[in-house]
Amino acid sequence: MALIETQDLRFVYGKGTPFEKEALKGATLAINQGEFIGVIGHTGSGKSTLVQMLNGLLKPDAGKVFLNGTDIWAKPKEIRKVRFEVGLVFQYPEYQLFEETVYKDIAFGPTNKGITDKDELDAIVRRAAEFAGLKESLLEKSPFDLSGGEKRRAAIAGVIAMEPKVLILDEPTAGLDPKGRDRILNQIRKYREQTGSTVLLVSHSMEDIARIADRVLVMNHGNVEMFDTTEKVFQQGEHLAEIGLKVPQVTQIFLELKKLGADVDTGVYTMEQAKAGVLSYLRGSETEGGSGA
Amino acid sequence: MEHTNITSDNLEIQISAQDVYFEYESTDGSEPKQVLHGVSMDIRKGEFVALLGHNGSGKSTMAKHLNAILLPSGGKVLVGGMDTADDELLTEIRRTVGMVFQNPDNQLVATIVEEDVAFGPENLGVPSAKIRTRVDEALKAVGMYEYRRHAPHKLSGGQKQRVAIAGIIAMRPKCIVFDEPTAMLDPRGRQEVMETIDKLTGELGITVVLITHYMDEAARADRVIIINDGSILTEGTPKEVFSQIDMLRKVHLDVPQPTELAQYLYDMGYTDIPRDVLTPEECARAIYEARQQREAAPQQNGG
Amino acid sequence: MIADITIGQFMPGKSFIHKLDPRMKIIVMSALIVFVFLAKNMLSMGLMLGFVFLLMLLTRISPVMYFRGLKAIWFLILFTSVLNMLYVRGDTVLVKWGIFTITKEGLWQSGFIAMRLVLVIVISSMLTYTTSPTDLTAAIERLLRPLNIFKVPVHELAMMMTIALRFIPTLLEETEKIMNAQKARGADLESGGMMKRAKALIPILIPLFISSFRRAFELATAMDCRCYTGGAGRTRLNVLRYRFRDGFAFVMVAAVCAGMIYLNTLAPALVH
Repeated sequence: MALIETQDLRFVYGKGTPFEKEALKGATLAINQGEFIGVIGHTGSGKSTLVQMLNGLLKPDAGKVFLNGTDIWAKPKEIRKVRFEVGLVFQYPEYQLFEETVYKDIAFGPTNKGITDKDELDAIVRRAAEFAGLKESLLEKSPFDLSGGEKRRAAIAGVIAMEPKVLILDEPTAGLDPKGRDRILNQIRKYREQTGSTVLLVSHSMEDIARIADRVLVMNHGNVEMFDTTEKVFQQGEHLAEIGLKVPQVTQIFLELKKLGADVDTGVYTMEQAKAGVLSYLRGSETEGGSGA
Repeated sequence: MEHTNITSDNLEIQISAQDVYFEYESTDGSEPKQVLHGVSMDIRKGEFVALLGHNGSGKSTMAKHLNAILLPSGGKVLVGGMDTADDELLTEIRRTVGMVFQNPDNQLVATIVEEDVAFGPENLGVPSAKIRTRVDEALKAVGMYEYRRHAPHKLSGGQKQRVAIAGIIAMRPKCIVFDEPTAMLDPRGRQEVMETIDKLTGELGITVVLITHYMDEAARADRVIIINDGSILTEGTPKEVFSQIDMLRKVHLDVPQPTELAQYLYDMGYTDIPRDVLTPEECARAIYEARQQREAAPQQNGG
Repeated sequence: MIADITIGQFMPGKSFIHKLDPRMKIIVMSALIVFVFLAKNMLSMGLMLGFVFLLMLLTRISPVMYFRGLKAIWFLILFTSVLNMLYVRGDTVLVKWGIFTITKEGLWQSGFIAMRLVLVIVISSMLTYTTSPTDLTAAIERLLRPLNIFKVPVHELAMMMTIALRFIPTLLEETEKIMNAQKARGADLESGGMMKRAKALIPILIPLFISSFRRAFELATAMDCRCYTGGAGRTRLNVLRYRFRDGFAFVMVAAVCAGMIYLNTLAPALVH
């Protein structure tokens, strides 16, 4: 059984006003325990609406969301519990920091969850901080004295501290420099390896998605356009371009090669694959029509 | 992209930073924080310069010196010969060097697009009829003329940023400094802004200083300057700078994937592949040609 | 969604009233409001009612919208009328019930007061419905300019109003984002007593304040970069200019007001 399943999710913003906009037009998908899913799609494709439905922040106009086989809206009064199971880190999460110390801010989620035992809470906070790559010494500082990247990681720790089964991150690297970005992606990768949690990463950066995701969900105009392994999705470079999305630069190189008439496999999306693919192409004359990795 | 490679010294210098030092005074009484240690650079008329560096390298601080938002604690900055430390010249300096910031929301003042674009010229005391012409021209230049009566908060990020750019163009500056203008935008917004910048440097002939983390954006510039720990680490054409992969890694900047691939191939013995390709197209062509040559003369096989 | 709340309730249009210079609109509408309070008998009040109704039609905005404006304060109208009905003692007693006495005079007077309030609301709605906040601000700035003599920072006040109008939707959107983010961390904003709810606002208000300060700081820098140095020496994109129709509107309103004063003398006053 899939961990999360959605059936024909539909949602309209501003119903009955002149600004009415259909954000989701029937999204059906299933996500398994422990998967690392990349979510791509341009602004307005419905991806943000979709992720806010997975933790019950938005209620679908039609359709259902199942978590562990249970309809999350079966008991609307208990929807808050779903938010502890499905942790959602919004874009620019540092703007939600409010406590006097980083420690207290990270403790906000677990306290809301009902954890009152001091030692238990302490252990949770410290572990979450470690997953987010925050040094112990930062915990007693004011969150507003941290650097941009540290603030971002403190905010992510605040969601990890709820110990959710699913962690959703909406563009966690937006606006950061390459160093800050790599740091966060590495922490997320480590977190997922050590906890075995399911992770959904929404990103505009195809290079990031290519580096980290097992499967890629492509949203377009409120529909699920593609949902397949990273390799198969990035093989569809032209299809992605049609819906206004790019492919990683290495994939572009292979698409260009193919355009020039070279016989190469275009399902290449990491630097390692690209190196192997090009070498085999260049040696092609010996190895007889060799195609990529 | 064409690289005009403006390197000749005969072009008029528009902005000259001479041995600029800057320190932030600390609020808690500790040692003041040194941000810039003797940065010197000349920006020439019509040039497109990209400033790169990781967060905290001092690149934004440097940019803020170019139109007197910050004043050097040592050294000086001259804008068209005017010293930015001279209070009397402040308005003249800021109308010469405009500035566009990261967050498009926080630089729009008015509730209607055209009123916002008019804000700068109004402050400069331009007569009303002439403001109208300037506003219309500026909005057309950024492709937002149809939205002139719209409310800014209803626009997309890329559109807001283009309105912000129009607001600066309407002041008729000679140079515009962009401080990470695309950092908060989605790919579509980024593209819109970059196309607008291309237009500024192209047909409008405005000097542009662009601060960015994105290598593909910096690759469009005539010259790239890398700032690290408050001083200039290196500068040159994008090809010259980006082909120094190890240096880029050391200062935590992205290495363009095509460059990385090409250098790998070069190191593997395919020495006919140039080490300084920047774009996927260039890279693919180089690889394709290398293979064609080998097919023609198989005995020269590398690797 | 809270971001959908519209501010100022401006309804764009191309009617005669919409096209009037905002300064003239403010002048004549204020005059009308003052004269509504000077109407003393049915004849003069009738004239005012008729004229305002004519103006309503001229705006080409559905009367439903004006009723909506009234809905917000119908209780106030009812309350003051009832109070008047009970307080005003006249000679002709209609109903007497315990300590309550309703007289014919009281009834007239309360009806009159209700009509005044309704007219005031309708006239001011008309102003905000037909004038964009930007025009309104520009007009207020221009009309108040004489106060500069008394060192009132008129331009600065108008600038603050403009910036407030510009940022209200942005901040509403931001509030919603912060609320969602805290809800995602399990914040309970919907249940509990007064104290608990007030406490639950802290995680929303603190980030909101901090972000507002950051925005204010960035905006100030951006304004510096655009050579803003206050009101002195500033020109405007849109210069307000009185046209023929503004003169016409002024004469019409003056005529109605004069007519009303004349009608006041023709019949005995119903209110004092």
